[in-house]
Amino acid sequence: MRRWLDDLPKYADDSSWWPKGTKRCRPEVFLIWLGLPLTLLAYFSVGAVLCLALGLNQTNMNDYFAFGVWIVVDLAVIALGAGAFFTSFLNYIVGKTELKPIVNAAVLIGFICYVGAILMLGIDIGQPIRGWFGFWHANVHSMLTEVMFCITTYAIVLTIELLPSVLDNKRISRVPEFGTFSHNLHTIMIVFAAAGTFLSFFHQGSLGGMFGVLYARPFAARGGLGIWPWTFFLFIMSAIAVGPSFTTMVVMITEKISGRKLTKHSVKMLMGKISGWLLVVYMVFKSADTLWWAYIKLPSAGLTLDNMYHAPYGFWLLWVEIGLCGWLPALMLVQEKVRASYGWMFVAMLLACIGITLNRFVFTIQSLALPVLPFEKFYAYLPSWPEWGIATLVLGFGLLVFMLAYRYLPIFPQEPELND
Amino acid sequence: MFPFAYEWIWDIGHIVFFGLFYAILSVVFGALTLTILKTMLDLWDGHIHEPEH
Repeated sequence: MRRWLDDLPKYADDSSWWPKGTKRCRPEVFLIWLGLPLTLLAYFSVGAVLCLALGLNQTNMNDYFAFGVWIVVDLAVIALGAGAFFTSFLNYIVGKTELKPIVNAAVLIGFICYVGAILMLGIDIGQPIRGWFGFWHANVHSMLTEVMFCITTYAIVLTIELLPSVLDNKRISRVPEFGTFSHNLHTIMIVFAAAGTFLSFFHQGSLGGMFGVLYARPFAARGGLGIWPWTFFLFIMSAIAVGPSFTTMVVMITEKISGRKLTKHSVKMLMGKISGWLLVVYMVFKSADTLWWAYIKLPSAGLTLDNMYHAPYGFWLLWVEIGLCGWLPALMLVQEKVRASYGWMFVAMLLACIGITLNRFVFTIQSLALPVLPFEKFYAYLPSWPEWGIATLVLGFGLLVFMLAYRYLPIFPQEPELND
Repeated sequence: MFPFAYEWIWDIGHIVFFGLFYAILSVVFGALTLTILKTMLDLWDGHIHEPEH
């Protein structure tokens, strides 16, 4: 395959735009690669046109499932994209400068996750042209209002944080105004990192808090501290635990596909260590919360744990989320031997990311699937094909932006020295 | 969003929520404006910086 791609005729040369000291595939080959995200975006476009023109009846959402696959994907990518704010926080505010070689990648991945989620939610709200209503007529008692305000503001912060990487492009940086602006942005980046940390902390928490205050949904409702249910804190903890894992995983996948080393393994190991210990802390609190919910909260409402799990959403979900994709990757990542192995560290990080995605899935879908009134039944939910199309937006958009950024922007400062 | 919107109430919820929101917006856009102004001053003085790689 690689030889066939190399034998393609040469038409153009964009090497003057590549980051200093790096090599990239030829433009013709790159165009072929772009076919993948463009195909996904075409699938998204068909779904989006159907939903916007004909309405949300094109989806399998109904009176039971007001939230569907879009919210699951939204919550998952917001959690996985938390590597941006947490890595920036550690690098700029805590002073963990060893993470500097991976901060740009973390910010880029965060930008993709947040902007992708916002674009997808534009379809979810049914009438995107009325999207500004939520800002203008804000309901300050709703957790979702805080989420909406913080996510959009944080997307602006991420765009500003990403700007120096764009301005540092080899050709763009030749313009003195851009080079000077980029330098000045670098010097004040701590302010944006602090603003991002504040915004992320609250919207990650409010996403969890939204489930915790659903008093009529026994699967999700929890007690808490003041106005914040325990899920508020659990969502923050889980996001900062898996965010660094997801960032590192994306870097590792890019290394394998491009055949180039992008960051030193010591940087990845540090990300794995941070992720591992945070995952241990999260799992302690998550396990305690689950036990309290199963043995105190549910019985106090006249329910049992058995009432909460029905096929296809059986007990296996609980064991996979907390055991296989929770405690197992946590215990793997805290061990140096595992982190030293490229393959095992990747497996542990993948399990952690699956675990958090599963957590967002059960809170969104299982909470709604369980009957809460005597005349209701248990229902399972399966998205329609236009719904899947819109959910692929994040993947298509993400691949497109990441491929362009990898090709043209100095995202990985260690790449030239590692590939000499 | 603004006190002149018809559903606005001067209660603690609106004051805290929007107080924090406008504070963070001020910090973000204030920092961005300062950076742009500093860049203009640098260029005016002939202090041109090479970008970091």
